[in-house]
Amino acid sequence: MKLRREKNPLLKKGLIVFMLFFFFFTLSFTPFPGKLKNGFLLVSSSLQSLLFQKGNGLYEVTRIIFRTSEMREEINRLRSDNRSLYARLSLQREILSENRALRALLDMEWDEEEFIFSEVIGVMFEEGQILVRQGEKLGVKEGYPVITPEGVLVGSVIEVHKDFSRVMLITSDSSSFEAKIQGDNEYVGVLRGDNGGLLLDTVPKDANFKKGDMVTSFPQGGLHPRGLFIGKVSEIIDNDVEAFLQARVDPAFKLHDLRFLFILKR
Amino acid sequence: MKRIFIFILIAYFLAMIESGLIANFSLFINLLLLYAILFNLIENPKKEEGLIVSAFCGLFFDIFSSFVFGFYTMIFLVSSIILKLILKKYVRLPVFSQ
Repeated sequence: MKLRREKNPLLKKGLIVFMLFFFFFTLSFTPFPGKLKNGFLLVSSSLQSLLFQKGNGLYEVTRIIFRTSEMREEINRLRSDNRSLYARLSLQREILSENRALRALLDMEWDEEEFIFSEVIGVMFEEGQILVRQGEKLGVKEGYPVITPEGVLVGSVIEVHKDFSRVMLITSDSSSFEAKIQGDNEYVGVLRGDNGGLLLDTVPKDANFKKGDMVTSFPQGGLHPRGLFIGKVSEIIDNDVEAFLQARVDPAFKLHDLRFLFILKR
Repeated sequence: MKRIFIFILIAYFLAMIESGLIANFSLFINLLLLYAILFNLIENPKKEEGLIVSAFCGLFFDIFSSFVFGFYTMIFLVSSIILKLILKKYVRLPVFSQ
């Protein structure tokens, strides 16, 4: 008798778990989970966005405290980069005007209507995914590339809700697409996320590139339009056993620096 | 009822902190899981508020994840049932023996 009384609560719990399982299973065939997520995010987006911004400020403060010497080095490096960029800028202005004319000719110029302005609200619990404002309402679709206002490729939309979208960063381990190294010559490889960084794989063994060369998206790969800037080569891995070269790439964006983004409608 | 509402509200704020504030530090601390485990550990194994709190923690986790909706709710709920069962049957804490 005593035994039966002890078993009862467990049976009750088991029944509740089974019913919940059945409930969620049926729910997965309806659009309700998407609506619930959208509603929840709509209610809490302002608080979440505020916390994300405050966290950014807090991160800056801790970075200043703990990395003073590192930052000094970075400032010096940036100053030297700046000087060399000025030199290259004057050269590239000429190329740019030529490029514009060619793009107009090929009808590839971007209109303002092709951008959707968006804002980072927070991160998702899966690694390498962020949540951004704007969704179905403004015509966001799965697969649209996401860039920073400076034109750096950040990732692509993988899930769309009514007012929000989920973006998979290029640094996510699940991300993989074709990219090219733009040095003295151009080499195409497969760029994939690697523990929060980027790894360019399947680069031909005889490729001649160096540290600091730019990596951009490869439009022929079909995933991202034109040469969107991704980052710079930080390390070249030449393993004798492997048939290809590998290169570590420093992404040109940091998660904590992201705030406003553009979603490209293509 | 009021107590449970407050505990659920705490879980909600933890979810907000996890997805907003902590994200900047490139850390992944599962605050919701920690909260659910601690709550069930501290609570008297005979009480059942921990199960409700765990289910809500799982629900918040589901909202911020791309997995099938309800997956984490079930995981959190079943884990806390098992935890409570172990605590009830095999662990004797002087606090709860009275």
